[in-house]
Parts: sequence; C-alpha cells; structure tokens
Amino acid sequence: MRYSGSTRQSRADMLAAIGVEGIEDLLRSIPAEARMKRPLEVEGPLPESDLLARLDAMKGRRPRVALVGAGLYQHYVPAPVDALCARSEWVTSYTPYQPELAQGTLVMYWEFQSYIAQLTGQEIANGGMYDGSTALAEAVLMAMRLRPAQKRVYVSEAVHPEYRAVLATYLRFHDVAIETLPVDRATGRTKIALSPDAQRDAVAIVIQSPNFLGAIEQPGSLDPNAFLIGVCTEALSLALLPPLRANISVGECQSFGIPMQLGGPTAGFFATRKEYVRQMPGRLVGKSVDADGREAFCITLATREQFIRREKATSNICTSSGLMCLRATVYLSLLGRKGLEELAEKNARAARFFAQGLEKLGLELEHRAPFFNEFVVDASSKPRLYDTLLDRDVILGVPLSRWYPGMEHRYLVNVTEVHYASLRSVLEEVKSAVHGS
Amino acid sequence: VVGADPAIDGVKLDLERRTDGCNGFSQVTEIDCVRHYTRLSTTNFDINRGMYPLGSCTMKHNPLVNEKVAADPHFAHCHPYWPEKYLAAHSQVMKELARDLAEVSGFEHICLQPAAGAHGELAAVLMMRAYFDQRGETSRRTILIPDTAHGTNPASAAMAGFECKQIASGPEGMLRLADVVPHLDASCAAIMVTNPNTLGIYEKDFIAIAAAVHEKGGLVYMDGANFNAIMGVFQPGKIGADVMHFNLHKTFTTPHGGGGPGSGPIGYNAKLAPFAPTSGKPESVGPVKAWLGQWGMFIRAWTYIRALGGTGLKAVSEEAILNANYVRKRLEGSLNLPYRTETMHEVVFNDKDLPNGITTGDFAKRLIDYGFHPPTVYFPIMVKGALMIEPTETETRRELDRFIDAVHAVLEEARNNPDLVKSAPHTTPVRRVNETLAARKLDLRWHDPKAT
Repeated sequence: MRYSGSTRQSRADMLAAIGVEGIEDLLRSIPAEARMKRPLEVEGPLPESDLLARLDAMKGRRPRVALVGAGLYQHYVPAPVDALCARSEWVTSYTPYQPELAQGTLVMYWEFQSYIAQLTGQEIANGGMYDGSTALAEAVLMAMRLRPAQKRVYVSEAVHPEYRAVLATYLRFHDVAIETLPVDRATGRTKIALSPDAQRDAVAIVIQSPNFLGAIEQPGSLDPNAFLIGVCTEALSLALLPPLRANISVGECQSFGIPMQLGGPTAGFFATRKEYVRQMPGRLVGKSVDADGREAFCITLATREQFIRREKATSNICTSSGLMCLRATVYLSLLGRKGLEELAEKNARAARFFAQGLEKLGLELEHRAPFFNEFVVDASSKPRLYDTLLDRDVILGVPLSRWYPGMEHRYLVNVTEVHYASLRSVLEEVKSAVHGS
Repeated sequence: VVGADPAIDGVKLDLERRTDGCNGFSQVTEIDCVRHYTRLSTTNFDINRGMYPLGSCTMKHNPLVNEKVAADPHFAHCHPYWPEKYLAAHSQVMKELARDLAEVSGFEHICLQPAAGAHGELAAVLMMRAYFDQRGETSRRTILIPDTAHGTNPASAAMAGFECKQIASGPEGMLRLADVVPHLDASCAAIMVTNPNTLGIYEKDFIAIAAAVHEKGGLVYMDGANFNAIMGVFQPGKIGADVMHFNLHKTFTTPHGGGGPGSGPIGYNAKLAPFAPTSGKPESVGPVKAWLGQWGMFIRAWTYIRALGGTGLKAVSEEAILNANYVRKRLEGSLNLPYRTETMHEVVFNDKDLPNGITTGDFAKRLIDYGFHPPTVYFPIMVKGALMIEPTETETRRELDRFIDAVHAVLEEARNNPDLVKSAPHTTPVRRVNETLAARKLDLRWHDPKAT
C-alpha cells in the first residue's frame, strides 16, 4: 500500500463524491461467480530493508574469472553510462508517441539509428529490437515479404544456436524450410557450397561473423541476386572488422554498455537498405521540423506498425528496448570511433595472448580462421581441466558439446578487456591445473 | 588504449581491418557526453515529473527500490551459461516470481521468457496453433478479436498464420455472447479478449463466451494489459481463459524506459502446457527469445510484489478503480462519455461535445501546457476521437484534482480562446512536430555533410 495515493479520509471523500458506499460497489459489474473469494497468497508486505536482506541471503558465490561469452559479453560498463541512464527522464518516460514531450528519447533513437547504420555499413537502421535473436527472426520474416516466391532459407550451423532455435519458432507455421549450412572443421568457417541457382532461389542466406565458434567469416562472392542476412552477436567487433555486405544486418548491442543481466534485457539492432524501409519491423525515428520551423524529431512510417496497420503490420512489436538502446548510444558516444577501435584491438590482442598461452601449455586451438575475442580450445587431452578450474571458480569458457555432438571437451573461450589485467595469473592457474589433471 | 602489459599490447593482429571511417561518431570529452545526454533528458516528460494518465499503459510510479536491486552487480552482471552453482539466487527469484504470477492469474503454468506483451501474445498464438495442429484441426485458422482490442492482438495472430475476424462490441461497450456465437464455426480457433477491455469495462459475458468457445473446441486468450484492475479481484485462469500475457512493465512497476524493455510472461493451463516455449517437451513451439527472458525485469517485479504482499496487490487494483471512477464522476458532465457502463481502472471520453472544432488531438496537446502528459488518444479505434484516461492507483486525490482542474481549464479555453488550444502546446521544447514531412522526406540518420 505504500506506493498508492489514498488515505482513509481521501478514500472516504472520493467514494462519497462518486456516490457509493464502498469499493465493493465499484466492483458490482463483476459477477459473483467470477470473483476471487480468498486473499492472494504471496509473500509480503516486506519493508525495503527486509527485502534487501532477503535478496542478500539468497546470493551464492561468484566466479573469480569467467571467460564466458557466446553471445553475451562481459565488457566494462563505464560509470557515465550507468549514471546517465539511471536518470528518471529516461527510465520512467513512455514510448515517444507525443513528440513535444519526448524530444530527448527521439533524438537518442535517431542517434542510435545513425550509429548502427554506420557500424553495419547499411543505409538505415531502426530504433532497436528486443534482442539479437528476435532481430534475426524478424529479418527472415522481412526477407520472406520481399521474396514471397522463395521457400528455403539457408542458415549457417555457426549462427548462434539459440538464435537458430528462435528462428525455427518464428518460422514454424510458415511455408519456408530452414536448411543448415555446415561448418568446415578445420577453419571453423561456414561452407557455402550452393550453386548460383540455389542462392537465387533462397529467401535468404544467414551468416554470422564472427560466428558462434569465434571464426571471422569470409563468405566470398555470393551471387548478386542472393539475399544475405548478416548476424553479429559481438558488436564491438564491428569497430575493427569490415561488416558483412548483407541485405539486412542484425545483431546484439549488449556489448555496448549493457550489463549481461542473465541475457535480458538487451537490445537488438536491425539495419538494411533504404529501398526496403517500408518492409522493416520496429520503430523508426525521423528528423522533421516543428510549427516554428525548428529541427524536431518524431516517430515516422508508423503506418507499418501494429497500432495502425493491425494484422497487416510488418511486425507485432510494440514495447521494444528503448532504455537499452540508450545505453548503447551513450556508450558509443562516450568512446567515440577511436576509443571503440582501441578497445576492440585490446580485446583481439588479449584473446590472442591468452590463446597463445594455452597453446604453450599443450592445448590446441580447434580452428584455423582468424578470430576476434573468442575462440575454441580443444582440451580433450586434459579431460579434467575444465572441472578442476571450475572448482577454483575459474570458468574456462562454454562447453560446446551442449550444441555440437562430437565437440566434447571443446570450450568456447572469450577474453575481453575486463580480463586483461589477470590473464597472466589465469594462465598460471591453468598451468597448475594442467599439471594436476 | 594501451594497457600495462607490453606483452599483450605487442601481440600482432592477423586481421583484415575495416577502412571506412564511421565519420558520424563523435569524439568528445566525458563532460561533453554527460552534458549532451543530461540536456537531452530534460526535454523528456517522465513519471517522476508528472502524471501520465495514459489509458491501457498503466504509467504508475516505479518504486526506486526496484532500480536498486536490479543494479546490484550480483544480479546485473551474470551470464546464463555460467554453471548453476553461481545462479542459485537467480533461479530462486524466477521460481518465486512464476509462483506469484500463477497465484494472481489462476493459471497452473507460467513461462517467463517473452520479452514484452506483444511477444507474449506471439508465444501464445504459436502455442494455440501447435495445439490445433496436433489435434489435426487444421481448418481452425480464424481468431476472433473484438473492436476494442489492442493492435498487437491481430498483428500477433497474423504472425502465427491466423486470419482475424473483428467482432463489434455491443451498445454497452461490451462483447455480447449473441454476437460471438455465430462466429463459432469449424474455422474458429480462438478468441482474444482484453478484460477489463480498453473502454475500462468488465466483459460481463466473459464466462459465458469462454464456455461457448470451449464448447465448440476453441481456445480463449486473455490480453493482460489491464491486469492492474483485477489483482485479487478475479483470476482469469479460473473463469475460462486458457492463456494470457502479463506486462511486467505495466502492472508490476518495471519502468517503460522510453519504449522498453518490457517483459511479457504468459500464464496457461494444462491444455496448452506441452506447447509452451520452455516446456522442454517435443510438442514445444520452441524458444521465442535467446536466454531465459528479461531477468532485469523479473527481479524488479519480484521486489514490487513483496513490497506489497497479497493485500497490498489487491489494494492496488481497488484504488486504481477508485481513482478512475473519481475522475469519471468529476468529468462526465463536462466531456462526452460514449459508454456509460460501470468503469473499472480507466475511462474513455471523446471529443463529440468539444466546441469550436477542437479535436481530441488539440485537447491533448493543450493539457501538456498544464503539466500533464496527454491521455491515450484516438484509441480504442471504435470510439471516434477517443480520450482514454487511466489515472492508476499511485496518484493522490490532490493530483487527480489538479488534473481535473486542468481539463476544465482547457474546456474553458476551448470555448473562449480556441486558437490557443489549436496551436498548443506552447511550453514544450518544441512545438507541434510536422509528422507528415517526416514521413514524406525520410531523414533517419546522420549524413556526412562533406559527402554531399
């Protein structure tokens, strides 16, 4: 009750003003048979201090070192990002349907669209999706609207397995088949052995780079009429690497100042060519002028959206990921082009340093292709290594056998700037575990 | 940034690098960045500044303790692929939240995964589709949707391959059993009902309609956008709904964030359980999102529920209804009320009696000058010139009176000084924005002025 506005007196006064005796009189439109006849059984009310104590008591241990990425990356979140994004003007504002009261949010979306379009090398980007996985699914749905005669989508086996699962869910009741493109065991790259005809006849070809196994893809020369959807789950890599030349670029912004939060909320990005703009899902913010001719921003092309077009909308998406887009925008603004590139280089160097360190300890890298900040290590010669390190609260990456049968004791290892200072001591720990296992 | 370790900094990079400039990136100092986003933020309206009587959006106070717990590093910086031993508290919170949502809704099962309300709808319509396909009832491809429904309902239904059939509400602003029954043929898969509906009216025939739909083998979806009106009052899962979504960012005080993130868990009964995204069964439609869902919202909702307890949650709904009825009573002599049926948590007026050609849009824009966010306008679509007010329980009577006084003041201006209203707002960082120009001359991103 502590958040609501009424006192016993105001309640009585308001009931009198309405002309009823009690709250029950206001519920009389609900038939007795529908009413709940017992009190709700949930915990509380708890005072704030008890609530915090209850959560504290639940907390368990934390890993000392977690070299875990696989689509969600442990990057440092600069203090200004947390501080600025905690301002209530961002946190407690609504979707900017009333532009006169939401220029801040609208300008932010426009900046976000500008940053994403540049990073992906695309002409336009929208104001964000729920996350990378749903952005991919929506990209394929958009490709299907653009290419209604095509009935097959080719998806690399090295696209994030959870993204592929979400795509399968979205396509479950559509007349389009998903075919998997295999990965080359030696390089870790996708093998695209499709004839030009097969490429042209596909709704889309979906490639992720760096892919789920860390390898940087080089799809080479696709047929000019093939429709490529490029996925990127580690957006920081775009500061260093050329983006895939795709018809639609989608991915995850989490690396840009968004805490991992167990995978949600994050923000997806969605960028494409201007000619496709009317088939895009999600919100778009455009620059315009106000009644006095001054620069002003507003939501635009809303005629694609569900609240106007209903069942003919390009997507059902409504509330999306505004506050997470804000985090990404502030982060990109703060680091700037140069800061972002230097950070990306630091990640790439730290990951190579660690990979080389593992090789010196007798472990092997699974793939040959260049990587960004993530790679697969083959620890099959030391089958107890992973668990030994885990007992010491060091997580040596993500076991890949969960998704790829035959990849037992292969671990996807991610190294970022947050690990930089401790890499030598982690290698020492791996060394002692190698000798002990 | 060169670190402290030359051995790492000296590692050679075997990479093909991008050569394009990304010239639209700023290169600024920290204070430049801080000032830019601080100044931008001050051009926003937000709940902490004033009342947001946005119908069906439930813009109520977001308790600050929610933000405190969500920002705790233990809960903010955690990865779903960490081994279970590190995620005990997180699992416990999710288990308890699911149990709480099951209790308030009366459903046996909860799936927390969907990322927002519309995403929960999508998960639910996919489950319904899988349910009929498994039963071989492949002709059931139509979903009935009342004219009061949110646009997300038909949009979600279409994404699972359903056709939508709109049903007109009756003269009391409610769906009537007699209007539904003729549509319950072999092609009907389900009905999607928001209850209370977007006119703020309890759907009196809900139980009878649900029974009739079930009788013919169909399913009942309840849109939970207006759940703030019914906690402890009725449980949708006990009166005929098979599946519904929650909006944690409405009812359970996780913030709207200028357009998200939301969180849209769904509740459902045994009929649909095998098909749920996270059921782990072969019948599952599969995940609708990577990872577990909007964890950062779960912990806020968990906190909110415990801050109030069961009696507190019921009081939320009662006071939301009290406030809406108070606003209705004080305004119904002044604004036209198209439906006079009992009001629950929100009330819909329209611009029928506004003088001098003043429209709902004008009226809404002038309220801004009095320090209020406008109500929801031109929705629901079946009310011409709708003005939809949801005060929520967290506004005091004093604040409601201030809002009511503002409405009366604008009415007075509409009579005596209509141009002032038609040209509003006058006090905002920008005046009315030319939305037609924005759509006609698309300008969606920064362009390098040097590149022509």
